[in-house]
Amino acid sequence: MTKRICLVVLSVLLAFATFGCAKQQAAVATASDATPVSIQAEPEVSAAPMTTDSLGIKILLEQDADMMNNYTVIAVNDAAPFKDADGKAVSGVAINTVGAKALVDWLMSSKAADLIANYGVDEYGEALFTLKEDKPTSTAVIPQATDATKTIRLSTTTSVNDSGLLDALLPVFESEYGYTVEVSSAGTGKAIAAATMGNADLILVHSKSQEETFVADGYAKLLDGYSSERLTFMYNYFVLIGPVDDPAKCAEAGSVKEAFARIAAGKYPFVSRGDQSGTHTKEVSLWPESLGITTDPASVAAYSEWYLSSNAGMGVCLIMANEMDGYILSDKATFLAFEASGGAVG
Amino acid sequence: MIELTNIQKRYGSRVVLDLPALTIAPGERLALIGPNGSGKSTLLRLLAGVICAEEGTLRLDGLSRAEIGYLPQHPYAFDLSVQKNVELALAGEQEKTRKAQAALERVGLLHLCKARANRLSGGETQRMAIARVLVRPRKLLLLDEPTASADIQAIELIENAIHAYAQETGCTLVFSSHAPSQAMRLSTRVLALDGGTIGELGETEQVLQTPQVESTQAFLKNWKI
Amino acid sequence: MDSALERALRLLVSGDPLLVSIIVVTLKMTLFSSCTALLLGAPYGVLLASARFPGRRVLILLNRTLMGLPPVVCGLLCYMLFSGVGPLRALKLLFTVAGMVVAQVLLISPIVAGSMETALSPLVGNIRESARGLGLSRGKTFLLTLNESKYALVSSYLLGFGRAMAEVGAVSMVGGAIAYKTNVMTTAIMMYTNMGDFSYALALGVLLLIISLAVNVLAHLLQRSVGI
Repeated sequence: MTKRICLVVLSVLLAFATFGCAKQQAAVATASDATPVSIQAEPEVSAAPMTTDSLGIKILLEQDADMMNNYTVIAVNDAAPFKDADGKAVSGVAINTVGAKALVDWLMSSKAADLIANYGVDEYGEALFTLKEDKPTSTAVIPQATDATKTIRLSTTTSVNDSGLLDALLPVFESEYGYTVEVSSAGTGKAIAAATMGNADLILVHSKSQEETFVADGYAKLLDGYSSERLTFMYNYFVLIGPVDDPAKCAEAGSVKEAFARIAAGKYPFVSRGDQSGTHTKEVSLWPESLGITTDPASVAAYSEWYLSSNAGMGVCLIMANEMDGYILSDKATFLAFEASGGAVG
Repeated sequence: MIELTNIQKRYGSRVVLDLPALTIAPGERLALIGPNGSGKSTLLRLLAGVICAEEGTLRLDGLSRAEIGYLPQHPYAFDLSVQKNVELALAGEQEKTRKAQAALERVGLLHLCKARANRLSGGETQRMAIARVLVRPRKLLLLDEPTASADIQAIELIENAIHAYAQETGCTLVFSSHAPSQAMRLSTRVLALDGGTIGELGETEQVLQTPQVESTQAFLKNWKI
Repeated sequence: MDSALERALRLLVSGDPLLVSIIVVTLKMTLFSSCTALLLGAPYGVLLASARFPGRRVLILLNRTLMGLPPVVCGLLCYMLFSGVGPLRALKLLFTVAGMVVAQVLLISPIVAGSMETALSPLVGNIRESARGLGLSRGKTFLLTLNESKYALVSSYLLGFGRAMAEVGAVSMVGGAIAYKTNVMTTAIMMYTNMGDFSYALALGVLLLIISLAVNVLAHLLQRSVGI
């Protein structure tokens, strides 16, 4: 009796596993290294070369100043007015300011600048990030890690983490100076909230308004050798992605705001992150003001016929856009990874 | 001496036992007979201290808990060997093995003394439970249908064991039985219960052969003593 | 065509260091969580089943309610307690495996206790009656009840094990899914799902099931050999 049950259970598992991947395309390029987190996907031997029309969406607009995405690192102030869940002041919150400064100094150093400027060139033929011309630089001597300062908690956003940049940068820093950087990634709101709750030593985000609030509330530390708490050091562009046939004619629009206006006018399907992330915040700023679209879900309720507020990560939203031939604002790195893995569909 | 006065046991609104007065003398052997639901098990449980009556008093003169042995209707076979099950009743005594094996021999289970007790058949479990409750001398022995699950050969074995035990220890014996013939063989007095009340109480031969009360007569109608 | 099962098996033998770390952290956390939950929950469950005391029914009700505690709520509570501004920040449990274990123990102990209570309650009446009939003490009766609970113990443990390994709400909040430290299989699966790499997530899921199957087969064989 038990043997028969075991057999049934095993065959159910096998059936589920065998058909769980029914739609996987045969040609998965060896972009395994480009997969944003460094588990190496085993290299697939692909018979057919990658074709652009295996995906239904492509980049329509890029490099518009309105779509510039600035990345900022801010060290957390150990003397910040931390409050607990009930709003009472808390003292003695442990922040590793020495470690945070070490990482910040390194990120602003020429060594890191080289790594950042070259990141992505091998996989995609172009750098994913560009250094800001007016970025802070540091030639400070970085101290080696001690037992007390060894662990540095970096709170960042999912888009940064998914791009894989940190996986390329941090090991270099860690092996040279002996620190261990613990990266936790979440949506921008949660990433910043983690810092205000004393769970991060520094943050790396890309949402100017939220950064300024963070500084104004006293949570940012002004480090020695820098003139500002907000250290904006690199940028990339969001890109407007849309269906290959581009019914809204966005590719011909002069600017991204014009493109968005056309999408709204024609009520073409649009996928929004809907999760108060940096991408979401940027996206809502690009719609015509008359529509009154903000990050508040209530503001888009009237447009539900074409505007899809999904509250999901970038990868999932891209899949949705692909499935429904919709428009979407995405960071370039995630889209390139998405494109390289053939739409990363299961 | 056991004395029950104005005992009433209720389950919700249902009265399952209503005994104005009942005395059991030391050394007496009392059989409880009656149809299902007449209160035999309830009375035994009460005497064993497993349940308490809502009203009335129960006096057990000079009897401590350790001196009362009770065999429930569905005895539990613990997940131990048969012998260890019997030895449970011998806590704090010497020569556990010898005594346990002797008890098992008397009910014909010695060959199974190392077997897992919860793997026995119904009849074997019953015999083990008998051995378990008879392995130590008690002042009061309460048995709820001691041969209910036993097969024919075992009934004789068990009855002999009980009889021998009663003789040796001089204990007070109260047991319930479905078979009036068993009451005939083992008891000195018979209490015939009727719906929780005393139907008839008297010397064994007298009650079983010449029942006076109608309920007793009805119950005994189908039995040939 | 590359099935999720094949991919899972290939992942298993690939020896990729990040994957190995994920599996090791998962097993470490799951074993600690399930064993601690067993040590705390099982005796409590047996007590709930066998002891008679006023308020017993209320405690059973409370335990059953706690069995339904949403993992993410538990995770949130622990996050706020262990946070840099939280009252228990001195314990330094946030972003550690130990913190994840604490959150999971809170979640799983009621489940283990409830499972034991459910298994033993039907037996307790008969046990008590027979033990009483032999003149056994309360303490001895309790020990005997424990002995009767061996099978329930194994199945309750496996229940706890399965829940610990499959849980994601609490461990992602308290652990932060930090690479090489607190990233477990379920948080890795979530991460790949959010990135859109569904097939990878599925392969990891099949891998998790394979590990779970292996553990259960092992437990089954152990049970047979010991005779439980």
